[in-house]
Amino acid sequence: MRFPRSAAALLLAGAVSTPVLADCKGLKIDKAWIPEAPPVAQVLAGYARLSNDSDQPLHIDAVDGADFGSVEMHQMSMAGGMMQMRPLTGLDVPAHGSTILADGGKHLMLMNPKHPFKAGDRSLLGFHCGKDVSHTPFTVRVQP
Amino acid sequence: MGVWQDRYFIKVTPFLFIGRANQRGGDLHKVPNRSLSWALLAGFAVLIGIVAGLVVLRPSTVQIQSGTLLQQPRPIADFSLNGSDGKPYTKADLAGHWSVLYVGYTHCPDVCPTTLAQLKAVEKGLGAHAARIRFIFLSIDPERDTPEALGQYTHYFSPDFIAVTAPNAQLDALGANLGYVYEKVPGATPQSYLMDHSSALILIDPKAGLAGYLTPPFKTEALVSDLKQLVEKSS
Repeated sequence: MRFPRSAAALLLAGAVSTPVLADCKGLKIDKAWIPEAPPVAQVLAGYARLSNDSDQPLHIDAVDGADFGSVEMHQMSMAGGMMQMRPLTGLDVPAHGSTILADGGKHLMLMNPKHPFKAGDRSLLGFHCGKDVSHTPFTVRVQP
Repeated sequence: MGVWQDRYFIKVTPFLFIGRANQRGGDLHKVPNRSLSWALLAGFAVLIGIVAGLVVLRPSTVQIQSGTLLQQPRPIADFSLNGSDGKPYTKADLAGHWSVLYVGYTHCPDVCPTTLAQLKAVEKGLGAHAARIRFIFLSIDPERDTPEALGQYTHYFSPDFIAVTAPNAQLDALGANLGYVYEKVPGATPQSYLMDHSSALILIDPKAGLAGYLTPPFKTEALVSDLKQLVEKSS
């Protein structure tokens, strides 16, 4: 009796709303790096590839790290010769797909670093998917 | 001169043709041959005009890959900015060398450091030519970028880069002159506001005239080749 009911609940959830996982299951983060910035920089960028090998889309609603005052998700774009930066409320990673955080596009804005970073340093960032969190080390590298 | 020749022959030859035809009156059978000769001569002259035009005009026209040069450099009005060395940075500082001015701010994590890192690569690629070009980072965020901090930030990329900023009134006046714009955009918190800003690199010639714009996406090799060409042309 228990099995059909949960199956029905799943079907119902699938039919009523877009199913987005409330955890980070399936989230894989690689190519995670921070371009080395001037020691006085109050803001650093974070780049990575976010992949989702699950059957459900993932939504990252916050990113944080102990080394930074705060972390924001941003979208850079060009419009009419203007460089525009806009905060994002989250990052979506499609099922069996990926989202790229890179120079000139979506990226992390790592604000108020608690100490200067130089090439080779690492910093752990937490990606929050609802109540779940996935931690990934980001390596500081000199920008090529 | 070439253009003048083209115009002269295009405008004048039809009149010559009509004059000859009328003068001959009834001797019509000769007109086609005469007019044919005139037409050939005119055509030949036009061709010479075009070739002369290309030869005469080409050496003075510099074609760049990374942007656009103005046909005539535009004068820049006097200005005074705050240099990171604590001294004023004025129009007089632009004289005697080419300048590449980049508009940005240090709280910009993505495009500004990427562009400055690229300009560092361009400076390296220029070799000896770099001595005749100044790279200027102009912060349009004077609220957060003090001249001193801006200098430390900029000199991380290259000790030769010039770092300047100014109160908004001066930035706006210079922007109207140089053709850059910027706008403050609220962020998630009052401290994390963002600045939208023009993305082009502004080219200023050794006579402190606005020479043109280099536009993204920037390619290091193309920038090096364009700047070398400009320096060589003005030598």
